[in-house]
Amino acid sequence: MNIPEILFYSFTFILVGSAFGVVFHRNPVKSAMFLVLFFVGLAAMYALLGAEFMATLQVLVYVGAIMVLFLFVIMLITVRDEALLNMSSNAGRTVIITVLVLAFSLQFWVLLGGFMKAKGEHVVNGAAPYSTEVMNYTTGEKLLITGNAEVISYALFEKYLLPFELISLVLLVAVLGGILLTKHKRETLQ
Amino acid sequence: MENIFKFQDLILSAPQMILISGALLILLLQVILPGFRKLLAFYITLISLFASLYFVTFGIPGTAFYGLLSGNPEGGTAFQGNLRLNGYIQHYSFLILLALTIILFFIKRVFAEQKLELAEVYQFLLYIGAGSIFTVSANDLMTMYIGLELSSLPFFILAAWDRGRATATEAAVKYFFLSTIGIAFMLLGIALVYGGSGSTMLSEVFPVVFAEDSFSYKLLAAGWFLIIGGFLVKIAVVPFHGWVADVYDGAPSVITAAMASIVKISAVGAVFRILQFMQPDMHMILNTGIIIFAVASMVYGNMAPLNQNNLKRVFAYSSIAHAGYIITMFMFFPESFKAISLRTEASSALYFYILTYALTTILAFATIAYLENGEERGLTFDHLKGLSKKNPFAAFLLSVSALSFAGIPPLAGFFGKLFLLKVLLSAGYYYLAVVMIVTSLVGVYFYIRIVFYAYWDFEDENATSGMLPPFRGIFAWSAAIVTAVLVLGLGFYSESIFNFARVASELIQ
Amino acid sequence: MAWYQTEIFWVIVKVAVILFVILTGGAYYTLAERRWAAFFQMRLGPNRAGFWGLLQPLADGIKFILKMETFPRNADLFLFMLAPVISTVTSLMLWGAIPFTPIIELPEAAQKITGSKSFILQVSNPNAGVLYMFAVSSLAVYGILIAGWSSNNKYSLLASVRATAQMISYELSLGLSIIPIILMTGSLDLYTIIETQKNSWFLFTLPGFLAFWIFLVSIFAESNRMPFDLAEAESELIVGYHTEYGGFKFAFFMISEYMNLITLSLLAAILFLGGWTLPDFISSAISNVWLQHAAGIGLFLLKAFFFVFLFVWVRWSVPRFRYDQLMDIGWKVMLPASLVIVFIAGIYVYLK
Repeated sequence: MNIPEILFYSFTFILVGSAFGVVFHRNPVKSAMFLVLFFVGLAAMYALLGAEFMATLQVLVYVGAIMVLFLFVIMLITVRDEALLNMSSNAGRTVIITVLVLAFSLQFWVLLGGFMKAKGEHVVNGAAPYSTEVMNYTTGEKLLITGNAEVISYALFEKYLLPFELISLVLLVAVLGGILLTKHKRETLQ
Repeated sequence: MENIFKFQDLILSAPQMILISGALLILLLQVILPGFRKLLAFYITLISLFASLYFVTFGIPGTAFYGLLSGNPEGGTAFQGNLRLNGYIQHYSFLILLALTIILFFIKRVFAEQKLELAEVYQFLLYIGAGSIFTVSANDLMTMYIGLELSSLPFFILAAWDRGRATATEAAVKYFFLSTIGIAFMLLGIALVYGGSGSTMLSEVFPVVFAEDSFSYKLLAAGWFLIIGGFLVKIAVVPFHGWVADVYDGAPSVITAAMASIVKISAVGAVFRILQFMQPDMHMILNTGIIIFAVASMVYGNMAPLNQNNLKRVFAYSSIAHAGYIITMFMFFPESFKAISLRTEASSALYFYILTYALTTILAFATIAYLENGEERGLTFDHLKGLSKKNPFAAFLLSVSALSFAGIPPLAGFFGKLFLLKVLLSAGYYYLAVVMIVTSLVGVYFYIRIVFYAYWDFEDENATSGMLPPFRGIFAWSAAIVTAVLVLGLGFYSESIFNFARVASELIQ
Repeated sequence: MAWYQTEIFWVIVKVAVILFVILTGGAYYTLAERRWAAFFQMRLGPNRAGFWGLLQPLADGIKFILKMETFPRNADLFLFMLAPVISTVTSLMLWGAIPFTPIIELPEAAQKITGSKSFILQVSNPNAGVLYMFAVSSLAVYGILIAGWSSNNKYSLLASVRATAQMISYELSLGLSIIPIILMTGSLDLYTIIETQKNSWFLFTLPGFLAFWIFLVSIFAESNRMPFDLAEAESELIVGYHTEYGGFKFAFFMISEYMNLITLSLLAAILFLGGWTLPDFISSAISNVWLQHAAGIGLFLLKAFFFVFLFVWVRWSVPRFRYDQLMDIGWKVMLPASLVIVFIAGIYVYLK
């Protein structure tokens, strides 16, 4: 086992463990903290794959902004674990945990076995993962782009231009909905 | 100098772009104009819907964008292959726009009466339309996913539109969580498909044939079934049906009408586009799954409302049954399916079925919206007593939709079922046809019960029916009459519509 | 290859050097602040421990260590202990990506010893250095948030909510104020950003000049410093989110705050004032390469020192905002202004 593999397995362990923590911890604040840990672990996974840009964005957006708001709300409504109902018995929890662990490890090993076999198998595009050939529209020459941010930006603004722009509409709808549903007097909204 | 962004792309996505610009126009005018009125928003919405309907029907002359009536088998792609335009997609776009226009008329009146009307409602309707058309016409799984998001997000908001009622909020939350989970699984499926093939573009991923024991094949298969599962949540067939009754019941009835019709139309259209490229040898697994789901849906959807007294819930459960009928046609979609003519038959039968189903559903839920008028906690059978005397028009509309759902011969619903049965029988799925007939016969009981309650002379009819308001509003009247006439009359033109859809189905590629 | 020629050894050396520098830097910043504060208020300030009070940080440190550990009742102990650790670790992590020196060609003799041709005092060079800085500094919110919540104290919670809300609001305009620079550089790499400014600092370009003011205000808000130190409003909230912290746990918060200030000063010097680059007319006047490097690094530290002083200067000169004013400024002034500046920068880059 080389170092990347060791790192991969340890991060997998952290990821799966923290995901279980999110679901099964009785204190909501700690649950949210496990989610933070999960996102950081995910960022580490991205970095391990060589997608440093994705990793930083993951931390910046999810950990730095979204989860903070989550924690905010949870802290301000002060749900302590005593306030939560005894939702399932201990035996039930154990059964659920066992089944989930079994299912996930099964899936994990299946996928892993597949990846071991799949090394070098043909993919449709056959391109190297972090480089892409693009056209410079002002000069008309072809460039080979490497580097995370460049590849992602070319993917976003060239191939996936339409979905990228549509996402802005989705966000607009979400913002409108959030404002409309939380505003108290709707007649004044006009 | 070449450009990433071509004017051609805008033309090929004209209907969506018109809807989106209409929505943004409403948003902007609200900010700019101080005396902005809801009526203006309504007319902007109406004009954008009619404009898109016009373009979808007649095309834009001199460009690659062609309409339903101007046959051009070539079609085209836009936005770097993210969008596809062909006859099949135009058919489904037309259906979405038609349903949306009818619903717009109903919403105008119902929400105005319930004091729920805001300019944002119209804006959301336009987003729903654009998102649904994007879902159907996407040629890339990412675009499909974003289109689906764009069309479902407004529904979550509109479901909670009547915030005073706890059930509306409950419906919105349930709908939000369950369909988000569905979409999340779909997204996982897209990721697996990308992992298996290295592309998300439909026309790139699916024509490539992998060896059955290769890892890519396994990833692709897993991803595929997850994607279809995500769509099945939207269509609401039995293992994924848990939310239907509560959501359909809790949401405002006109919104339920939109939910039950538009979401299903776009999901079915998109599933067809995915399934047609299925890997060979994969459709056996698919068929098994679909038969199980379909039978379960038919049985559950027709059994559950037998004991149900709430009118909206009756129609909600019956929509599960209809989803069961719908998905039987999915079996014939894969390209690898040997009988290509059968595929065309199935596609056109499904098109006709979903057309009649959407119209009937809209009619049913819109009528309920009028009758309940936002005041009551659900409309029960007791409320229908003496309806034919108090409000004969509403009684007539309700009966027409119920009878069409039941499949009584001269109505459109009968012909829809007939075509489905024909396809099933010619493919040799006799037992499925038998299940379909038997379960819909069971279903006739509660549909007839609606007609019975509406028209029978009850002794105590004054007890509860006094609060029913008369049917009002010129827009709603016209929409109701047009829909009712369509439901009544489409059956007589079924063959021509069927042939019309057949032409489109041959152009699916 | 000898053990001292391996890469990992030199990384450890760099880490050790930088750690030493920042920890002492942070500690002495506290002294500097107190001395300067005294200067502004016409007092003497700490001058007993050693010459000019130079041993004061050491004495403070010893005192912090020797204090009794106290924990509030009903506090969540694990998170209570975790909060200062998060604060400190994030502010230490920031220093890993800062290039303190240009890439220096080593002389023959040094090459033989170290086994590498060049040297740079930068622990690692991430692909997107600017983003890395922002990502890590956004993690600092957790230290504050957790500290406030786990203390089980109303005032702490309120202060931490205030502080985090403020940091999130100003993070937006802070991030947007960087975008003109990224647009003009075409890279997210800190080293490239510095090198691009060799002959003209970004401060002296139109979008850079406009963005600089947004950046300046945002870093004050981001570090919860004086005109925006609502989280520590003594009259309302005791001392803020670390009310319940004492001893070395408090020292952690304290030193991480000052280390953050130094980091932000360095970042300002890097992004807008050209870092360690020397304009051509100066570097051509200095013949010796080593002198050039020394002058560049010295200037870099001087620029950063200016901001370090500015933090204190502003603190004792400007009164505190009200909280609604703070939010108004953040969302209604800074955010639209920075969006406009991004737009201007786009036009500027396009026209160039």
